[in-house]
Amino acid sequence: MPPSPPQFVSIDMAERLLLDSAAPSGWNLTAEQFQITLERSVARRFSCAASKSSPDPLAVEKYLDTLHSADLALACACSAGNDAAWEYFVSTYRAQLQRAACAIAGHSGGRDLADLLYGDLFGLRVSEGMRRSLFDYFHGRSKLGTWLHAILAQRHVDEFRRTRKIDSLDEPEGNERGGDARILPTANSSPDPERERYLIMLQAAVEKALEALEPRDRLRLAYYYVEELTLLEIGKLLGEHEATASRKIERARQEVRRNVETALRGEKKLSEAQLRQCFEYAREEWPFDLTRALSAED
Amino acid sequence: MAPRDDDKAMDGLLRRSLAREAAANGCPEPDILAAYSERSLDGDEMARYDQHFSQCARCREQLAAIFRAGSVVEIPEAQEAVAAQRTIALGSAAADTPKKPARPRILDWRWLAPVAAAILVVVFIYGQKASRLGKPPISENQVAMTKPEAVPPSELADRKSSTRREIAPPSSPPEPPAKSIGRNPSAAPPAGRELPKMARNYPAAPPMRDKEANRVDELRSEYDSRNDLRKRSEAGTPTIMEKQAPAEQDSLSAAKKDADVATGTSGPTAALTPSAAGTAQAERKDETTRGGAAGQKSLVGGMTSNRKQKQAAAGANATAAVTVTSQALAVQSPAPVTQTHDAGVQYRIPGAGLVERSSDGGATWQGQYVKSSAEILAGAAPSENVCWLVGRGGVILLTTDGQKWKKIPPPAALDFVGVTAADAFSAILIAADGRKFSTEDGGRTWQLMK
Repeated sequence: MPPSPPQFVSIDMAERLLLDSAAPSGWNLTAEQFQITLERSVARRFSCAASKSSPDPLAVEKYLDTLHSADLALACACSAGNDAAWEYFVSTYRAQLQRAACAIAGHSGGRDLADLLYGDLFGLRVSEGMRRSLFDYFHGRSKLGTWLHAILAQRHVDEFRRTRKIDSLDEPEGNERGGDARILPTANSSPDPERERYLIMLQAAVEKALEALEPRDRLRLAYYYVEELTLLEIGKLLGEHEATASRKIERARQEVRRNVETALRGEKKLSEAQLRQCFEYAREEWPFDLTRALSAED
Repeated sequence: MAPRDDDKAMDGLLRRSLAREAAANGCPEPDILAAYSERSLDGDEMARYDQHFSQCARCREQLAAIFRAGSVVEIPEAQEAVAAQRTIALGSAAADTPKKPARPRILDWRWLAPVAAAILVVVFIYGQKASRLGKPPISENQVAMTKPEAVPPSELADRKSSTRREIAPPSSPPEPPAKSIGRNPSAAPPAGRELPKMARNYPAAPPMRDKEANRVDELRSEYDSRNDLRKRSEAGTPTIMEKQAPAEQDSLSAAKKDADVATGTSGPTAALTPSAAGTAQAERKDETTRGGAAGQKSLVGGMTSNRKQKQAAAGANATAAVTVTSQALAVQSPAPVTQTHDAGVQYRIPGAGLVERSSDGGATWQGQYVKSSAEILAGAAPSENVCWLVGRGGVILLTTDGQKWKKIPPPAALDFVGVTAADAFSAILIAADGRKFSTEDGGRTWQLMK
């Protein structure tokens, strides 16, 4: 299908941005080609296909000025199959890609991960008679290097999660319900009949308290407790100092705890002794998602 | 149960609850993840994706992976092997027996902070002492000044007249002045100097206004000559000044004799003739009148080698009991001294990784370490606490408080030879190939100027 005629980016604007990108003449990149790439980026940013309304021209111009035009020009030229652009891309990004892939997937897996990417970047896949390069999905909103890292990260995470699901399906018979059900017998076999009730109440209270948090506070806690990032890394990811991240994590944690205790005391009418018992049970091994597991059993 | 145990239970609860996966609907594409990790999304988008990421384990894993990949790429090649071992242990959080994170606990800050502060104080005091004691008497490319003696005016006048009378003019005609090697066009390599690969194919820079063009040419010639000097020093080729060394040595000994005769003294307290300290030929005549004031002032140096400079310094010491301290030097710094609007505040770069700031017009300098080993070529200080420094390999440094320096991501890995700045947000860089880049947001984004 031929690309639709440009609507948001004029040829003058494309020429200006192409000049700003300082793309070498050897890449043979024309303003028309760059215009199509810019058009695609604008359409994606403003979701024009979905809303069917034209974005504000001023907003479009402002958006175009924020793009990494040099990287976008390189991606455009590589997508068009220009040899000089490819040579430049490989010489500039090859080592960086290898290192990033090794950091993500380890030394052995990293090389494969990076090597597989080159095929997709070149566009071995043909769709509707046209070669589709992965570069077509780069819209210039970040540096090209960061975007490549994101591609590597997404592929590795998805592969890892897929493998994990397959592993759990390969469990021996009798454990068809997966991880949650596997832990249930331990919970059910507890000598204390109150244990499950307490844990369900506790988990519900924790989830409610987490939902009440600001998204950013929840994100900080998730980075800290689940992704196990350091405070420094969390700070860098969220654009704040590590001391700030530390302070905010601690504050969010105390807020969750306070809300949980308030809910258990107020709504569930638990005494101090029962509350302590709840936390005592929570220290032991218990199902990851007891509520869901129990409801699945019904 | 003790409060500490309660904390452990709470940690476990948080870990398990947060590890729950949300539905994978609406997960952003890699370009959004990349832009989010660079914090270049708009405010509304950031808020929207904060909300999503706080509930989506898959996206968080990807973001963590992007971050770790980026931090590995940033570090030098030498540390690659160590850094690459930090592979991402995905899913460890959701495992039944979560590992204890290998990181300091939050509460550890209570004792870490005072310890760190104490270490900083010790390092600062040690650094101060080291900078006071450890500096060589005359460093390379510096101009040394003799310490003025307390001489009565009458004796001063006598010395002045006798020196003027008895100093023989130089036997050979004065050579053309080698004022500033850093700006000597003849020292610049003709063409084909190492420029970034991208730059070679660029179209010629658009015409600029005369004043700007002159400034660029000046900066470029300075850059070229620095390049030349560096290459020469790497190759062991003598510089222009080194080639003059024998002649200078001759003039040194001759002038020393002259000075002794003129003052009728010999030994360390003798007055020093102007050229006696291995002065550059260009300054000989000037010094005859200036420095001839009974050796009150003697210049040593120019762009000479260490060996040459040591000889010259030794000569000066032998004849005039010169006491040279780095703080009393009239400095011709190898790197530019950047002035601010406040006449008292200056910045200079004595060497890679170190910036010095003076708040008393250059009398004393305070060292500040910066995380850069690249050579700084130019600087601009729009106010006393704001200073931009630029240099080779795309190095851009900015301080906004006169103390802490941060690296600004460059628009391209070019050698920058000039910078002008209006404040901490607005600056214009001039690259070695003549291109100019501007920023209005403190270096977060750069625009190529036409």
